[in-house]
Formats: sequence, C-alpha cells, structure tokens
Amino acid sequence: MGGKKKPRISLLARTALFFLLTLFLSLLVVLLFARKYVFEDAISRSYAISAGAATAAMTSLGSADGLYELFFDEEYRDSVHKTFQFICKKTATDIIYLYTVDEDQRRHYIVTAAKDDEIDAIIQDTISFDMVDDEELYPAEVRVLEGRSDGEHEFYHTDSGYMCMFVRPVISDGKVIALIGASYDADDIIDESKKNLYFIAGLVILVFSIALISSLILMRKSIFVPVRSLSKSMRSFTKNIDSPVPKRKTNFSDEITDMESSFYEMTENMREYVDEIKTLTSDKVQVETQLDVARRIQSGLIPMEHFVLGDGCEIYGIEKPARAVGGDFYDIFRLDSDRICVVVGDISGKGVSAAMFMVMVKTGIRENIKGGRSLAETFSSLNREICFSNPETMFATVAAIILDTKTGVIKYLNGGHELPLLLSKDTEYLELDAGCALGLFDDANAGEKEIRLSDGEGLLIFTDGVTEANDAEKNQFGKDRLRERVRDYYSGYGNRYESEGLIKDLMSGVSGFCKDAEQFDDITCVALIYRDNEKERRRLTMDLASSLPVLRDTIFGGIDDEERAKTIILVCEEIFTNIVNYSGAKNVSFYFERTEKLCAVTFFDDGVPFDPVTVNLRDKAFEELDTGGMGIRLARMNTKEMVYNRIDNTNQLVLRFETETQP
Amino acid sequence: MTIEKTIDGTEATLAIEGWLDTNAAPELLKALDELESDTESLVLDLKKLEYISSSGVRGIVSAYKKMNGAIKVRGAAPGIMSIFKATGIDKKLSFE
Repeated sequence: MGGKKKPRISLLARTALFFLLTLFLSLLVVLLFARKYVFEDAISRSYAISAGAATAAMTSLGSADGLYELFFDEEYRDSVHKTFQFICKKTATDIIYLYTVDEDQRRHYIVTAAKDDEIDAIIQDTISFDMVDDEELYPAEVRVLEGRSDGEHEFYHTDSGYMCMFVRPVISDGKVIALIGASYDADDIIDESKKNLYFIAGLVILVFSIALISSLILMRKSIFVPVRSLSKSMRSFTKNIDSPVPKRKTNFSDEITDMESSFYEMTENMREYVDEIKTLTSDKVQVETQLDVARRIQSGLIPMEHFVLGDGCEIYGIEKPARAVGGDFYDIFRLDSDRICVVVGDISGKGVSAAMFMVMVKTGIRENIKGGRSLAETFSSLNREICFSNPETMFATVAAIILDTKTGVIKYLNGGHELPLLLSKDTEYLELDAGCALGLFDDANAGEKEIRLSDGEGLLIFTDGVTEANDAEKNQFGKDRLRERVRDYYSGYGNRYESEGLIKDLMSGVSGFCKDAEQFDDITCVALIYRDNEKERRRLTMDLASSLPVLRDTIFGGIDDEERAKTIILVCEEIFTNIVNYSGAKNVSFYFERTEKLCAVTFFDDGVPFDPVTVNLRDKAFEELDTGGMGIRLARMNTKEMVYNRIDNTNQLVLRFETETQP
Repeated sequence: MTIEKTIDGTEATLAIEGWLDTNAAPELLKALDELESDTESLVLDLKKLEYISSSGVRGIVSAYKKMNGAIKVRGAAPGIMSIFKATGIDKKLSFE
C-alpha cells in the first residue's frame, strides 16, 4: 500500500447522508406542490362561503323593487340588518354590506352587518346607512358595475389579514342599482391550511425518519457490523494466521453471510496449507540436516584430499562427490612398516543409503586387511557377509592394492572396478580379469595380479566418474583421453610422475572437457608412485662437522624459499644432532623428496628406539635451557607432520614440510 | 661462522656472522671464555647472523649466565627472533 491515505467516510455515515438528502428533496417537493394545492383549496372554500352569504343576503331581500323602501323605512332596515347578521352567523361570513356606488365611484352604504356583535356595533358607526366611503373600488366591484351579473370574487389583504369578498349586483330593469358584498376573513381557513401543510410535512419527516432509522439499524446489524468485524478478522488473520476467526450465528443467509463463510473457509484452507508447508519445510530441513551430518561423517571418513609422502611412496587421492553424500570412497592406510594399502570403491546408487553401504564396505575391507587377511580372503569374506544380508541389493566395485615399499611389489585386487592405469614409461591400462563386484553373488571372485614397480612407477586408480564425465553434448571423457592426458603429463614433466601434480593435472583436464556440464557422478582418483628410497637414501657419517653441511646442501638444493630452507635445515639439524648425541646409532641415512607443495625428509637410524613425536618434553626454566631438550621442541614446532616408525630395529622418522613459507 | 670482538672500556662486543649451528657453537663458548676479566657488559651483534639452532641458543644462554645478565642483543633478523621466541629466551634478553 502506498500513496496518499484516502479520507475515511464510513458507509453508515454515507447512507445516512444520502437519506437526509432524499428527505430534504421530498420536503421541498411537498412544500412546493402541497402549498399550492392547500392554498387554492382554502381560497375556493373562502369564495364559496362569501358567495353563499352574498347570495343568501340577496335572496333575503326579495325583489329589487323593495330596495327603495330601505332608504325610508328604518324598521325594514333593522329587519334586513338582523337577517344579514343571521346570515353572517350561519355562514361564518364576517361582514355583509348592501350599498350603492355613485358617479364618483363612492360607496353609499344602506345596510351593513357583522357576524361579531362588537364589530357590528363598530361598523354601525362607520359604514352604516347614509355613510359614504370614498375608498377606491376593488376591481371585482368595477367589473360587477360594468355588468357581470353573476357576481365577482375579490381576495385582498387588510391590516387584519386576508379577506375574501364576493360582490353581487342588485339589478332592476337591467340596471345595477345596488351591490351586495360579503367579506369573509380567510385567515382562519389559511391557518387551517397551513396546519394541514405542516402536518403533511411532519408526517413525511416522521415516515422518512422511521424509514431511515430502521433501515440504518437493519443495515448496521446485517451489513456494517459484520463487515467491520470481518475486516478486523482479516486484518488480524493476515498479521497472525493463528488468530481465531469468530463465526457469526445467523438465522438466515444473505450476501454478507456468504462472504463470511467464504472467508472462514479460506482461513481454514490457508491454515491447512501453512501447516502443510511448515511440515514440509521442517521435514526438508531435517533431511538436509541429516544429509549434512552424513556429509560431515563421510568427509571425516573420506578426506577430500589425502597425501602420503616419504614412506617409500607418495600417494595422493581426491574425492569430488556429485551430491551432498557421495557413493565413492577411497582409503589409504599403513599395514605395517613396509606395507601401505590403498582401496578405491564405487557404490551402486547414491544418497544416504549408498553412503551407509559405503561405510560398511570401507570399514569391512580395512578391518579384514588390518586383521591379517589377504586381499582375496578379504574380498570373499566381505562378499559373503554382504550377500547374506543385503535387502537393498546394493553392490560395490572395489580396487585394493598393497604396496610393499621395500620391494616395490604391488598386490592388486579388482572387484568389478575400472582397471587402473599403470604409471610407467608406456602408460597402459593394467591387464587382468576385472572380477565381480562386491555384493552381487556369494561365490564371486575378484581378479588378482601381482606386479613389481620400479622406482618412480605407480598406479592410477579411479572410478567411472572420471571416464564417464561428459560435456554438454554427452560425449564422455573416456579411457583413451585419460591415458593421453597422463602420457602428456609424464612427458611434459621430464618423464616423471608425481602423484599430486598428476591428479591435479588430470582433474583440470576433466573439468576443461566438461566445461559447464553438471557433474552427475562422484569423481574419485588415487595415484600411487613408488619411490625406492633405499636407492635414493644417503648415508650420513656420525660426525656432525661433515654431516651437517650435507644436510644443509641437500635442502638448499631442493627448496628455493631461503627462509623455508633454513627452517627445514634447523629441524634436520636438531633431529640429526639428537641421533648423534643420544641414540648410540652406528648408521644414519636420510632421504629427501619433494613435490610442488610438500617435501619430506626421512631419517633412518639403528640406535635405541626413540620417538620424538610422543616423547614427553618437560618445560624447562631459562637457566636450564643450556642443558638440552630444546632441540626436539624446536623441531616439532617447525614441522607440518612428523611420523615415527620402528622398523626392523631401525628408527624411521618422516618429517613433512610445506615447500613455501605460509603467510 | 666468524666472531669479531671489539672492546670499549669494560664493554665487549661480539659480532657473530654466518651460521651459528651445532658445529659453530663451541666457537662462541670459546669466545666467551676468552673475554677479558674486567668485562662488565657484553653486546651480541647479530646483524649478520643468518642461522641459529638450539646449540647456538644454548651458547647465548651461557653468555647470559656468565655475564650475570649484563648482556644486550643487537640487530637480530626476524628469522632469528622467531627462534628466540620459540625457545622463550626473548623474555630474558634485552634488545637494543
């Protein structure tokens, strides 16, 4: 809502205003027309009265000839006066007068009589016999004198009010010899008419008022109040959907009750919808939370990235789930001092159930192999176990290898998985029986192979998410493109494989191929490169003066960042000095290797077992600092990762560092 | 590593240049032994020190003890300072 606020005029007030306007107009009409009618009626009634009186007076006189006698006979005049007075009283006429008009238009009164005795007494003194009145003649009198024999009306106004006069001629031998007038005071009758008029007007007002009030009451009850409470309900409903909407009880239905019940129905429906949406949303939130938990658990189980370096091999693995929870997995773990195990798997299906199945497969393989079973035993035992109870008929393709870092021998097991790429100078896919996926048949077998890797060779194990990654036109990345990419990497990198660099190059190749196409399957990739550190190990004499420069030169030769190199040299010096001073070792050798981001220095010594990773270092006071122990502390502080193993009476300590100073 | 000694009255200055590692630490201890008996305060000029290991740190602690704390450190590079801090001796030393 915006703009200017409109002025508020209630419907009730508008209706009342409309009624009052109608009333005013009706009154105007009544007063205009009724007034005319009522006054005309009053006038004609006055005329009738005065005409009646004049005619009666005329008749009482008998013939016109008798008129002359009145001039002489006073008695006769008295009797006529009495008759006239009688007529006045009977007809309610105020005055009757008999008179003549001379040439000068003056009235000569003969007999006059008034209805009222007091007035009669007054007029006997003013306009009685022989008295002359030179007041101007009324038009009616003039017309009668000019020959209107049946009489004329005159309505005039005097000081005492409206008067109605009727004049008749007294005719003898065709000549007007005298006039008889009767005057009637019309005020009474006009007053009466006025009263009637006012009565009618009052009646109109009364009827209108009753109509107005009763219709307003009715409208208020059946329209305004319900509409107002409806709009109030609507407003509170929009503010709070749970606010109650009262239902009005009515005896009959009309347009308003129709509207009310529609609104009531609408609120019910809306509440239902909102409840439904709330439930749906909370369900969705719950599912998403669960997925999030699953994802976190899974990412704890399967790192997005994992890197092993300095143990006679380097291994780099990544996993890119297509959805929140992926069905792919990989696992890298050390079996003992010589052997490292790598497992890659792909679970049929996706989502939470696939993830749970994945956890079962992954832990099953790890526990079996760690428990001493061979790869083949592990496969068949786990396969039987899964086939025994697999209500969702899920299955998993798996590839598992065990590398002996002493010999470079790899045991490879394939359970229906994509065959790995052998990272050698020829770069070809490994040839072996693909075997059967875990969980399909309880008597299934996996393909097995044993190969021996030379220094710098390795295996690339991947899931079909890599080869089946497609571009917008649904072209797949494919095995050939994968092999060519790896070959290009090998030749472009000085005929050398490096696990992290290889996989990152491959991934950028895949994403460059797919461009904007959505990833629909999990992508998992692990590269394992065998590093014959026996071959590259360098012996150090137990003489610090000659050995420390060897360490220093090796590290300066491998690390460009000078400050970083000094830190690594510091750690190596501390570790080596410790070996020389305390281990009683006769033989010490070390091995340095690096990739782009990481490097590792591995020390081997045949001294007494000593694990600098877990040894308890006592905090020393300043005065004791010159007595030793500070070196191990410095070494620990400056190493990214320190791994200690006691193998064949040899202390093996792997120190891992970043190759560049971290900001 | 080289150590250059200058004497100014009772104040001796040892300017240490290069790598003070396990191999070089005994030279520092020797230089401390060879300080004149009337030396009352010692300045360690580390402007040209490139590297120090725990043996070197121990040498500085020995110097501190020998001089009963009358020791000042001059011009340690950030890399050296971080090792002083890591070992905790920065709290005892006075730097100028």
